[in-house]
Amino acid sequence: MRILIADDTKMERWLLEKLLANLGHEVVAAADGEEAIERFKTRPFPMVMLDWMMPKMNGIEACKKLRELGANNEEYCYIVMVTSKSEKENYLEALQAGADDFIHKPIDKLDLAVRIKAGERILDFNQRLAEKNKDLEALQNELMNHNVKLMKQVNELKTKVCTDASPEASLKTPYESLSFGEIHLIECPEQDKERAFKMFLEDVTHNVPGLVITRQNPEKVKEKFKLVNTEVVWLTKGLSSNKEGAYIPLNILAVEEEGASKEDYSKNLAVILEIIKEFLSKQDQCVVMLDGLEYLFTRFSPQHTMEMLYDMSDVVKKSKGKVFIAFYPDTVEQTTASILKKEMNWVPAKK
Amino acid sequence: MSDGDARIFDSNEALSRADGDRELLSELMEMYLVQSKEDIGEIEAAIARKDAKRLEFVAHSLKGASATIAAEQVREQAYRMEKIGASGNLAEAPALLRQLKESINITNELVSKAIAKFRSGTEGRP
Repeated sequence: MRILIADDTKMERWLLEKLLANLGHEVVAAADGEEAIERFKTRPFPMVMLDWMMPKMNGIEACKKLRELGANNEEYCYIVMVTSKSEKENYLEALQAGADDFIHKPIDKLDLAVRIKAGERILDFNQRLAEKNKDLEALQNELMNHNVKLMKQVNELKTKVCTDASPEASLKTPYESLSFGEIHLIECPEQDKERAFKMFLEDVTHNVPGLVITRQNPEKVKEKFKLVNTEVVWLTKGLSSNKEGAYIPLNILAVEEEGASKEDYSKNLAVILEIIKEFLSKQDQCVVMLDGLEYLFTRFSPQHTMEMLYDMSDVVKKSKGKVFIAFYPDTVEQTTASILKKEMNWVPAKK
Repeated sequence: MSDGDARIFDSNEALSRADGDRELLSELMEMYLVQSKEDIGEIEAAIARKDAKRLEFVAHSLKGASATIAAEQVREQAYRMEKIGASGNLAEAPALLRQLKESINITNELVSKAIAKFRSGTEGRP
C-alpha cells in the first residue's frame, strides 16, 4: 500500500519509513504537515500517518486539511495519528479533525503492523461499500428508467381504458342489433317508455358510436344511461344560452318566437338533419337516438317534419348508419302514425 | 553493559524497536548522536531566550528520539523539560538543562560503544 508519513524528527521519520518498507509498503516521507499536504495534492494516498507535533503545520491541522482535500475523492484516506503518551488527552480533538486511529511512540513494529492491517481492512470495506453504492446507483437509475417507461404505459393504458372501457364500450357479448342503413321507429309503450333508449344503449355499449337528440336535459340523460363519450343534443328553447355552453349551436328557438315563418321551420329542421348527417358521415355504422318526434310534429308541423324524415332516410342509407326514433303511442295522430310505420322500419312493442 | 547502564540506554530494547535489524539500529543511533547534540544546543538557546514554546517543541522532539532508541534517562528528562516549556514558567529549566546535558553525554558514550559493537559484529549475535 502507498503510505504517506509526516514527521519532523529525522530519526523517527526514517525509522517509520524503514519499518513500513519492511512490512512491504511503499512509503513517501514528508518533514512536516505542509509538505505532506503538498504530496497528497500531487497524488492522494490511501493511508497517511501524521506526527502530532510538527512545525509549520501540526498533525491536527494537517489531518483537517487532508479531510477537506479528500472530501471529493472517491477513495477514502485512512489517517493514523502518531502520538506520544502526553497527547492522549487530545484524542477527541484528533478524532474530530478526522483521525481514524492512533499509534504511540516509540513505535513498536508489531503494533504498527496491526494498525496498518486494521486500516487496510477498513479501506477494503470502504472500497467494497463504494462499489456496492455504485451498483445501487446504477440499479436505481435502471429502476427510474423502468418507472418512467411504466408510467408512460400506464398513461397509455389509462387513455385506452377510458375509451375502451367507458360504459358505452363495455360489452363484447353478441346481441341482436337492428340493421344499419335504416330508420327504426321503435314503439315505446307506457310500461316500457325507455325501450328505444335501451336498444340504442345496446348498440353503444357494443362500441357503436352514438348520438342522442332529445327533449330531456342532456346531463340527466348522460347520468341516467351512464353515457361518457356519447354526445347529447338538447332540443330545447334555451339551447343557445345553456350555462355549460351550447351542446350544439342549434338556433332552434327562433321557431318558438311569434311570427316565425314556414321558412324558419324548414331552416330549423334542416339544422337537426344537418347534425345527424354530420354525425353519421363521420364513419360507417353509427347510431342516432332521436327522442322527441312528437315535439317536432308540434313545433314544426307534421308536414315539414315528414319532409325532413324522408331526407333523413336518404342520409341514413348513404351513410350506412341508423337512427332510432322513439315512438310514443297516442302522442302522434293516427294518420301520421300509419305513414311513419310504412316509411320506416316499424319495431312494435312485444306483447 | 551493566544494569545501571541499561536504565540509561537499553540497547536490547532499542534493537527490538529497530525490528531486530542491527544495521538499521546502528544508523538510528548515529542519527541520535547528531540530533541529541543539536537538540540540547537548541534547548539551551531557547532557555536563554526564554522561548517557552520553542523549548517545549525541541524537548518534545528529543523525548521522541530518545524513546526510539530506548534512551530512558534522556527521554524522562526531556519530557520534564517539555512540560516546563508547556507551563511557560522556566524557573527550573536551567537546573534541568545541566542534568540533561550530563545525561546526554553519558548516553551518547554508551550509544557510541553500542554502534562500535554492532558494526564489529561482536554484540547481540547468537
